[in-house]
Amino acid sequence: MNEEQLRFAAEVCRQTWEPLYRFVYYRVQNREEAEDVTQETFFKALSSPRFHEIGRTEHLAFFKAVAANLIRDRWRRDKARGIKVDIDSLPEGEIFSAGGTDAVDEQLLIREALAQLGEEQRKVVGLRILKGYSVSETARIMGIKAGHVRVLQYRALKNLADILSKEETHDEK
Amino acid sequence: MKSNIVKLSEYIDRLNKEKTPPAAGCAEMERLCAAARRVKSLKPPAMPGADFPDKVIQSLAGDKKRRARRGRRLLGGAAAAAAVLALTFLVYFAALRDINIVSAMEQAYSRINAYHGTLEVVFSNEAGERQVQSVLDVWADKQGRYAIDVLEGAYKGLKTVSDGEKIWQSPVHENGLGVMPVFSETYEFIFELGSEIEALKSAKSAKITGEDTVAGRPAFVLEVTPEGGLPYTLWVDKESKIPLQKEGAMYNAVRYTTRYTEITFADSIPEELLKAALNPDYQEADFGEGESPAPAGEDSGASYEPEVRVEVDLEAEKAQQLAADSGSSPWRLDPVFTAQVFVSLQISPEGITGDYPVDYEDFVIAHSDGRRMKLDVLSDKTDIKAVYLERLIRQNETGIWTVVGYDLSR
Repeated sequence: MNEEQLRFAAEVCRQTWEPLYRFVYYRVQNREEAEDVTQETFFKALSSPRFHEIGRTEHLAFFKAVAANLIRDRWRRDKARGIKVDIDSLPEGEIFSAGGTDAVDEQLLIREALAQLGEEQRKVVGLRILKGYSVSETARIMGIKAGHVRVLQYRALKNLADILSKEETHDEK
Repeated sequence: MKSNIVKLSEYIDRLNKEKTPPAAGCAEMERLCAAARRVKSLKPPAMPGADFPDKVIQSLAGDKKRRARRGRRLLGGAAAAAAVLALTFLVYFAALRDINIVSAMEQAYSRINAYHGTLEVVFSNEAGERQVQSVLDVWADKQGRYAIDVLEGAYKGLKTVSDGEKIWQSPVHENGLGVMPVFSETYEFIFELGSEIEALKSAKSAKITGEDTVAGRPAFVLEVTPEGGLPYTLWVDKESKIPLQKEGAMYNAVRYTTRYTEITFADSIPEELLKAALNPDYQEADFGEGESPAPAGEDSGASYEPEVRVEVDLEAEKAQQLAADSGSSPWRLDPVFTAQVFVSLQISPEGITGDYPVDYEDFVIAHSDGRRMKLDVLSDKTDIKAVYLERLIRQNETGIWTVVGYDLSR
């Protein structure tokens, strides 16, 4: 990559980093991992021959596809080390369809699922995850013991996962 | 062995800290962790610092440099080219970094609606002695509105509110001007973030020269040379890209530093802080802008038109005002003493040793309106028969006097 190519890469990076980062963050839900994956995506994607074959308007979709596979790869490695994804062998359809999730529908689905939880479970999820309180802070606010908070949030997320799973199965039908 | 209940709680803690969580471990746990992530997705994402794209670009350049080094091992001739290329990258990205920090600051500021901070004004002298001159509680927004409460310093308790056009103060001061300085050398709000970033954009140069910590926060250090005026140093918070500290150049043995020891961002300034116009405890500030002082002689018959004008360096006078505010050079608050030093230095330009050649009692007030003063000199040790002084920086009892001219005896 010569200086001109590097300048171009810098320009592309500057134009696309924010939507790409949001895309990644939406999946991993923490800044540290989102930054790592976004950076790694640029490394892999910009050095890929595929990058030079696609048009400017397709850059972001390409980056999102690479990012989605990197996340998938990370999660796979959690189970079994050593699985790698060759981005140049990705099917065309997979690359350009990545990131098409309807975030509004997804949010609506989650809110509806939360509404189906009991009051105590809904409250613990709200305090721990949406407000970001620690276990001890949540315990103090709710007037219960820390151990009870952990049990409550476990049951709440189990119920929530079941509700979401049912909703999604229902939607698919 | 930890139970899934504890593991899930730790997983949530990591997400809350915006850190990579541990592996879920099993399918059931992954299902619960995924549910936790989905709930958290209802919140807006935690965005990286505004320098994130710069970091990515710089690391890309670093990657290319490493590749160039690998090439050198393989090809002797190509090695030189790779080294030149690497150097080009380094120079290019060093320059890019300086440009990018300003652009990153601009972007960061564009995302802010209002801010609330504790601003400290510190003076230091050539010996490195530092003194906190004032501590201010500051609320400001992008519409130019602000509410400032002096927490420590000479004007402790003074509240100043601006709606972007007019300024109100409380308590109302009985200095006839209806205004007291919020900051030591100016009535204006110094170290307002928007103005700082604008000034940086139009600066002749702004270079990152190092890294430091301000109020416990890692910061870039920028050396800024403005289009006009003296160079200064700016500390920019690495994470938020917001300027935290500004330090002027040492001028006339005085340097001042303004620093946000705390700063948080908000959607707006609380409405109750801006309702000064309706509060009878507040008075609209009258800066007397555009007004000329009362013509000399109106009350005394004395003329206020010096035969010889003294060239004044306003920047130096501002520094002197700062020095006086911090307790140094208190004689500049006394017009007679100021005139005595001036006349004495005309007699002994190399400096004064021992007693002043002209006595304090040799000066008689011929005219004074609080802003301007003419002193007759009743001494035969000098050709100067009258000295003209003005409060150029601040027109109240805290303002220093400056000699602006004199008359010579015929």
